[in-house]
Amino acid sequence: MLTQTISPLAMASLQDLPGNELVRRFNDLFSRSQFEPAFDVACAEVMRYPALEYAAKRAALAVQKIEMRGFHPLYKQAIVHCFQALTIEHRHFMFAWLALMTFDPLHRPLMNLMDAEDENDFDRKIDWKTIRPCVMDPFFQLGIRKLMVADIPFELLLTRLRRFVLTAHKTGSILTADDLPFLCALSEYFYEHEYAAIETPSETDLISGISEKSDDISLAVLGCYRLLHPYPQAQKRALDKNLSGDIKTLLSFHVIDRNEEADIKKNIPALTTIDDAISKNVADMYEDNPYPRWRGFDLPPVLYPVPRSEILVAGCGTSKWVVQTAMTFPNVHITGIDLSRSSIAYGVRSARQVGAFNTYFAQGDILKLDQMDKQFDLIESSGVLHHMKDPDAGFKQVVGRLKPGGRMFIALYSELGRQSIVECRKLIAEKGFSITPEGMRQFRADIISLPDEDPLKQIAMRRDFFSLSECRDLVFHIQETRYTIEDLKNLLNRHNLTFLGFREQAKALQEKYISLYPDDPRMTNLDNWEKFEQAFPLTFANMYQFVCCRREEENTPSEGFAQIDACKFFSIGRTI
Amino acid sequence: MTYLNLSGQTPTQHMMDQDAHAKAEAGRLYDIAKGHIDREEYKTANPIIENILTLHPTHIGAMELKAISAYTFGDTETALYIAREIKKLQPLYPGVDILIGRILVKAEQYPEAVTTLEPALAKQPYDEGFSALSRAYFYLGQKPKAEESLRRAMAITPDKAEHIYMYLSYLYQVTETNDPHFARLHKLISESPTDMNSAYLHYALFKAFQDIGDYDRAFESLQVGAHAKRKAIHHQSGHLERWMDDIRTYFSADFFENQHIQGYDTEQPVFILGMPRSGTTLLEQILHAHPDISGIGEERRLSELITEFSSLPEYDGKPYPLRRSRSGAYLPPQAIGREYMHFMNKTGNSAKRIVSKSIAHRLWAGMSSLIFPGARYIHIHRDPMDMCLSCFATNFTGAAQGYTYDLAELGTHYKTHTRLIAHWNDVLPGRILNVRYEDIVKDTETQARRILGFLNLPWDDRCLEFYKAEKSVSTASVDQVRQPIYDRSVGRWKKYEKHLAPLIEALKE
Ligand SMILES: C[S@@+](CC[C@H](N)C(=O)[O-])C[C@H]1O[C@@H](n2cnc3c(N)ncnc32)[C@H](O)[C@@H]1O
Repeated sequence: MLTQTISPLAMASLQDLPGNELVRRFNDLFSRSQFEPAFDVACAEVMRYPALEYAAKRAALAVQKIEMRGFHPLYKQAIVHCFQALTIEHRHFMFAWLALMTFDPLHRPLMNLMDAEDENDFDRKIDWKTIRPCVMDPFFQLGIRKLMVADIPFELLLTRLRRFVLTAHKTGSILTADDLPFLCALSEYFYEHEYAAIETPSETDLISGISEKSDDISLAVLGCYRLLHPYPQAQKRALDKNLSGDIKTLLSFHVIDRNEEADIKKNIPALTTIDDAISKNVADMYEDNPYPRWRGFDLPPVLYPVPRSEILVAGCGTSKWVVQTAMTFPNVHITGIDLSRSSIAYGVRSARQVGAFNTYFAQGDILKLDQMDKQFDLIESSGVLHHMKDPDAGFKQVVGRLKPGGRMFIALYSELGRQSIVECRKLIAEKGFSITPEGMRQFRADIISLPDEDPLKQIAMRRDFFSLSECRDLVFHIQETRYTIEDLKNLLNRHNLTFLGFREQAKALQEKYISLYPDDPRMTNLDNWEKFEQAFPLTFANMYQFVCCRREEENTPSEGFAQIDACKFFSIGRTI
Repeated sequence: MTYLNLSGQTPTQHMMDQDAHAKAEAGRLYDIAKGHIDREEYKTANPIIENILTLHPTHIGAMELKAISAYTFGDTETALYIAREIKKLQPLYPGVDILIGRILVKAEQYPEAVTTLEPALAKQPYDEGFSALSRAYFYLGQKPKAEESLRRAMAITPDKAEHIYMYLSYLYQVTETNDPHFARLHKLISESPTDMNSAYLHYALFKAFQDIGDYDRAFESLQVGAHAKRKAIHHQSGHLERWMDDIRTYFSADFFENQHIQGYDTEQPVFILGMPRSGTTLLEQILHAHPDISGIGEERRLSELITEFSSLPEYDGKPYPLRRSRSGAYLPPQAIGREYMHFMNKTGNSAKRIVSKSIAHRLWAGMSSLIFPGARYIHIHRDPMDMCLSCFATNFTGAAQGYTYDLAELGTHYKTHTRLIAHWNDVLPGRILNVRYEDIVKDTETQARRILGFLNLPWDDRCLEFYKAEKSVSTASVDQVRQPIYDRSVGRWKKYEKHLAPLIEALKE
């Protein structure tokens, strides 16, 4: 196990090195899997060049590979700088952040509150004066704003803090305008998690008492419990020209972005008709809660000037994949379609902000794709077809949009990989939790209260558990089909498709496969995979993410796909 | 138990042998790398130098080569670091202080450069060291010391064309026809110098003839000098102008109507747009004197960021024109803004408005307006005849402004420039203030008030006494900014009118 403890001396000598030398050393260490010293070098670079995106990218690469076991203020400072970077997924820093929060002497008073047995115990133990320095620490604030922290004890801590803040606000005199950075950060945390944590009836009462107040503190506190968009006073404040600082940031999420999405929604073209009953239901379900919410993401560090390929994303959702791919291949045209106008609007807004105008979005039903006549070099459909009543009908439509030699990136649920989820679904059915925010919160509260040994609690290891829309997709979906490898084989056969390999697999896993099946170097033998999954049932806990094409077209990829493939950006089958 | 490997050696023995091998190998590689550096083949040399330093991390010779190579590529940070490491390892290594001093000059750290170079050169006179010192004094505004240092360089290598050129152009005023410099220059010219040296010598001659008021011969020398310079830098005419047209068509009105790119939110940046010699330095100095404004001079950071890292998809079938780099690195506009703003604040002391005046800003305006939705632009316009003549009479550093060495081409360039600026005015309404150089010269206060109003800043009297500001300036117009405004340069082209037919012709619509 890798552990990270810094030698201050080593850091001091690193900080004298010129930038190019730091980069050279980082690359050298990283390529030799020396991740701990590589992270030190990256932190030194970040400290020297706090605004350099590529320094933060290097730190983000290394931080995923290490386990932080000690505390050093330089790590804290470096990570604060990394939080300001715009082209990395801040979540990579989550474990390092949690560890530093735990080891940082400054945060001891706050972290000690995690031991509170229940609400009352918490109220007895909390002392605003001693925890205020903790919650005003930018490291803490940036962490809860940007990381989508997925950790039960932490969620409990913040939920109790939220209740404390609400009560304190009601009684007055404790919270002042100086506390706004903390209140806004707390509010952003709950906003990003879509208010997945449960609220008590007494809190609900208190909230109604502030729901018409228009001062910034009240707005920030209200934002810890409610999306502010529908509140007129929030709308008014958001449009205030002199708005600045944390409240401006907060209202830009709660109000400005939402307004823009509402505007966009009006102008999304319709590509197909939607009249299938399930499609309509699914559309409604995603209408309220676009899935998944995302903000920052790893922008590819490289650009590929591939000319003129056409990509279709069938069921694009909120379009993270669309935007990322569009930015990576600036000259490729990408069409995203989905049933949900809300999700599309979220994607359009995100694409606009980074200038990904090689994207085209339309509302459409996969079941009706034959109403369009365009064909594509690559079709991506991830986590979509298994939500259709008749996935085969969807599959047939998608295949129909493929150019000769085109490829498909498909992702489907695995029966074995989702065993723990199946158990949760049973629990939900038994207890009759409804697919409403309240039902989902209640379900989450039940899971959280389980003893740690309970197998059902494993679901809380998944990031998706921590926000409402993701949680809904994870366990509450009205329609889901799960597959076995046997089912996959049959599915591919029925549609005359050839399996070309699984995607996005860890190197270690591939090595394991190769050592077991040395005579299948391309890793495309599904009989082997069947045995492999039996032996390692969590291999596809995420999904079966695979590539396929029409039979007999394995060796004749379309021109457009061949160009994309040549960039080696997508890992297809074996990565060497 | 003893470890025995196949050759029968113990581990330590083996390591010692390896060490000896490594040393020998490093020595062999050093000779090769040195050869490449001497022939200015830096790209070939660099990996070899890295190899040597892997074998032998404190190989002084290789470290020196690495510093020189980094210096040549403009990476003064690395060059300086390595030079200082050499000094730590071997404080008496000959020339190391001079190397450090020269790097400091290139890094525009003039005061440190002077304190490093003065004692080093006293111990070990070296012509390039003296010329670097002269440059440092010059930018610090200490002309007599600059002159003295250059004289000492010339005493060591009297025939170096670049030094004679610097001396005559910036430090010395010829007063009579029999000044010995004329004979020197003519003799050196007759010895068939390289194109670059021929350019230096003819520009020097031009300045000397102009000093004594012999405008015909001055212009004759200028033409020969410009022609030589153009050859020396292998200038390809038309490239830049085609690029400017591509930029104009990509960033169309339609483009701006349809984009919603999220930029970096700040009102600090102010970009000056103008051709070389149009008065951008003067304008910057006037603004720099204001307490809320910091001028950061002619910097290349934004150009680097945009040409290396920016990208947008095709628009309307046209590829994004600004990216020049083939390397894959990419940053979206907002991230470019963040990096650039960090640089600006560091250089410009986080002033309320930070003025940057790179000549290239006119090319980037479309993109920089997206990167900084709150940025403001000031376009400075000057009489084309005066401006073009002034361009033509300038020997710009290196290959920059290659279009200025031919009068007809210069005229065409001016027209392309005017089209581009008119376009920015069309598509960025309200964000550009247009000012005229001649108006600033005639009535500085009125124009300065107008500009400050545009920048949303209060009036400050210090703007009128900008020449008193303490700050080094490093541009071709360095000499003039240390003086109050003078209008000697307005209408100067008339002295050369009869030679300017190709320019007049090209400027016609
Ligand atoms: C689980 S989300 C996946 C979104 C996206 N592919 C991703 O990976 O983030 C499933 C999406 O499929 C869409 N969807 C489901 N059935 C569809 C259909 N018949 N036609 C088009 N989109 C559909 C839903 O609206 C939803 O946005």
